[in-house]
Amino acid sequence: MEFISAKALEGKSSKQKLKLILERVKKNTIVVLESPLTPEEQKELIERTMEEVSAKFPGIEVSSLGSPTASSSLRDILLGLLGGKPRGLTIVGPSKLVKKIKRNPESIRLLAGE
Amino acid sequence: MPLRRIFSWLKSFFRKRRAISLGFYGAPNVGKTTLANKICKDWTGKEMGKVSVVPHETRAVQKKEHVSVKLDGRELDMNLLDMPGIATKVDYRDFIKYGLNKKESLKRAKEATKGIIEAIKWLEDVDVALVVMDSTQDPFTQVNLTILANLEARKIPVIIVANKIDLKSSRADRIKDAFPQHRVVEISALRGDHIKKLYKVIGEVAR
Repeated sequence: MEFISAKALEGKSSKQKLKLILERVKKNTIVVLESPLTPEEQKELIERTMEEVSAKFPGIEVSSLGSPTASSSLRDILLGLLGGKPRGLTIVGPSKLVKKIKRNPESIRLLAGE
Repeated sequence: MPLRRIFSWLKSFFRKRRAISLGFYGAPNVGKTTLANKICKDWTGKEMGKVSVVPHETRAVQKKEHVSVKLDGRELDMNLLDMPGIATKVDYRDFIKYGLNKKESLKRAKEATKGIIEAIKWLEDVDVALVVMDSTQDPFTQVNLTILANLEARKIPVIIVANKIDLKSSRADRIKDAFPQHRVVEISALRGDHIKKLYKVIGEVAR
């Protein structure tokens, strides 16, 4: 498992972020991002994953907490404008390794195993 | 007569412009095609696509254009777009469990991945989205969240369809609790339960 800080992703474009994630996930690493992917990035992550699917790499399991959405609260928007970090996280892992991922409104439970 | 031709062209042009694209979104095997077939059969007498227990039966967007739907005395011209189920993984071995051989399974998996990409690209082009969920399953999946968040970001009207309420293990209340900001209509696409209610809501949303 690899934890990636928000700082490490600062200044990276969505394309660069998704490339970084998929490179690690394809090497059987579960990636935890301190700053959550946006809905647009999650959508693109599914697209990029589908382009990479093969007999050896069937895909990913992904879950996010606190992704910024169209209905993000004013507090979150102000926090972003003031340079604060968006709250939340995104977990992405190879589906071969992640047996189950359960998302609740406030938590994510992940079961991994070969 | 040229004038008649111009009139006919204008009529068809505006008819096309008025058509509302109704997209059926959701994970595989939630009943999108069963619902699309039900709607299509109710209004045209014909079904749209093949239904199967094997996941990813719909691997390309199925279109039925200019379906005339009469709601509350209004006539709506709709293009029905049955999307391939969106998933984050497509494992060919899952198809082998349903009796397909390895070659067929690999082919189906490849087609399914292309279908998912196509469905995602269409997210920007529908006027109204029916996000279909299996009410016997946990609705709080990343696929559902990603679909809804992207539709919300584009301000596309959404109706969540809590399908399969005819099954004993159905828990449509979980869907309502998970997405209180959206209209949720509980139906059984298979039996046609509450389908008129769904038409009413489509009519309200597609104004």
